Amino acid sequence: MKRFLPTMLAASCLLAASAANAFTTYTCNGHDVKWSGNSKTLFAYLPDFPSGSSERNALIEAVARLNENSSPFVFNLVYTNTVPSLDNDRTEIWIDNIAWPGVTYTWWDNNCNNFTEKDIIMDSSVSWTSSANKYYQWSYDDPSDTIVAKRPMESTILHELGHALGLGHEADEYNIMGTDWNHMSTNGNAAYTYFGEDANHGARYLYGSDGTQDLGVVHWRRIGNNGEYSTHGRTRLLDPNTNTELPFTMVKGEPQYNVNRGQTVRMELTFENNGSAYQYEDVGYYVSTNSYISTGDRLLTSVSFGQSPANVYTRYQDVTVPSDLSCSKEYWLGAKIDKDNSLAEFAEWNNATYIPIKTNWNFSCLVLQPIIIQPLALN
Amino acid sequence: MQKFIPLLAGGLLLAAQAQAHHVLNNFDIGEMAQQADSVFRGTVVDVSYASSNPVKGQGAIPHTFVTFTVDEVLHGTAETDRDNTYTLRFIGGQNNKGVMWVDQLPKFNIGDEDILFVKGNGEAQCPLVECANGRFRIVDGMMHNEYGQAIVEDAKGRMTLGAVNERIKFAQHKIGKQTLQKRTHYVNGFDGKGNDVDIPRPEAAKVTMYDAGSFIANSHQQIHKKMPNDPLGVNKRAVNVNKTKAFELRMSKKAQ
Ligand SMILES: [Zn+2]
Repeated sequence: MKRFLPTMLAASCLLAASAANAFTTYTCNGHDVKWSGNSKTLFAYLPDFPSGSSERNALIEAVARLNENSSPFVFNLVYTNTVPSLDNDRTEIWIDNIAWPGVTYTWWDNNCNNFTEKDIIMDSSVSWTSSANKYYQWSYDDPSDTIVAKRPMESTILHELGHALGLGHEADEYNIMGTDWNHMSTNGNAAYTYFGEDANHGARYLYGSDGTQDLGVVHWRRIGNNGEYSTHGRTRLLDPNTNTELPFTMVKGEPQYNVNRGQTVRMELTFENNGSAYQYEDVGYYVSTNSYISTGDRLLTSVSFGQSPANVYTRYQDVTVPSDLSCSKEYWLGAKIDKDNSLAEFAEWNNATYIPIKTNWNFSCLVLQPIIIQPLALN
Repeated sequence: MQKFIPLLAGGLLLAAQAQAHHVLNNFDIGEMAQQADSVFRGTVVDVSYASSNPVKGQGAIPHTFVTFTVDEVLHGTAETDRDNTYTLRFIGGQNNKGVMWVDQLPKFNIGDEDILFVKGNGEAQCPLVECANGRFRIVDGMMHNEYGQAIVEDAKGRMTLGAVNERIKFAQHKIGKQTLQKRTHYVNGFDGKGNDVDIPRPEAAKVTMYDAGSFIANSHQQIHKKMPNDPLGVNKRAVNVNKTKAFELRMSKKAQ
């Protein structure tokens, strides 16, 4: 069969250097459209979010994460039995069988100055989880367990709330307005959704700053884009000499890197300044015998660097795997930001994360530690 | 709006795998055509607005009617009017109160030239296969998706998505008298020492972009490969909608 050759184009017109794209907003006749005030009532349809339900839990968490944002804008959540509908001048959220996992309908007035209504519908046909246990979530699906991992409802609702606040999709940063289900802050077995640096920046652009601060570190990063959505992958452990990813095995659904004791490795982690002001960040890098990283773990190195609250920072840090670790054993490298807890943050639970490792067995493992034999004391 | 996950039979596992492997930038023209009622190349000649008739529990909702001249049919039949036009109906548009839209609906302007994978016209809120993914744009003769990403050929000869043409991505879009535009906000990178710096972009490799002709030719091949017994989709019909005829929006189990 004849093969049709696409046109060859040398893409030489790209700029050598440029600023990066960040959050997006929508303009009408040249100006931004947003809510006229700093708060909006969000009516949740009670039969879809009954008390004690997982849907209610997901909604409460998502609204709380939105309301933490570093602008003054908040949604006030009100449960109601009033049947929701489009174009009733009420901003509502309900669950129905729809074509998309989640959708936000946006309305504005004829002067296109302000939103007049936003309606969020979540799809009833999606298998959702509202669990913060990471093994219940798609991004941490452990094929060896019996748990059926599902899409986290909180993260998708938070993405829709981002639309409801006034943000569009964003493909060029690691951010919640891209792919939502792997925009997670994870330490130990808990994985929480969060609004993130780029969306907080957008919220402050639209509504101003409320002066609150927050720092965070995650083991996710932007790896590309799919249409308007950023796509995210795990941060890696690299060989500092070649800057290539070290060998890993998938263990319980996560990449576990094979390292030698005494080896210097390059840790890739994503740091976010979600708050209102530039911060110098105090970061400790640790090795732990479990996946929960805390200041009680063994400190490998401390660094500090500055970060403006505008641009997600996937950062590299070389650390040396201690020579006295056990051989053929699982450990977790990790980092904790604001380790001295010197900054008052609106979220203190997003300050640490991990990268799983396993020490290789090699000949150094044969070397016995000298045993000191005490001479018998004779008397 | 959140993106469509390719949920096939046995869906969740496949979906989880698909996103775990990050192969999202590949798409399958044959698969999309199989899902479609019709695939055609057309040019937007009219965009107009009308609201649905109110039903119990749901008032009138603005809709947009996008009319194309059909220049070439690749698969199935688009039931065109006598003047060779075909109209798609999307939720969103304008009424006397203002404007309503949804983030991921494709945004059409008069004069746009597209290849469309039509599905469920007159019923679906977005009558394209995977909504905006079912629209491919021809701009300056070259193929792009809704978001201005170039359609390129990867090393294995598959169609995939390439660099973004920001002129397309951030183009103005008319809704009645209002001009809607997505605005991106630029930030500087920084070096971790507190200094904002320009972020160098990696040197772009030579990319192989599809022009409209090679895209259509390649699509014919992929459709033939997927549906060797019925590449033309002889019994498939994409119904036309009449923009002057009353219609209802039954979007909700709560609005009967
Ligand atoms: Zn969205």
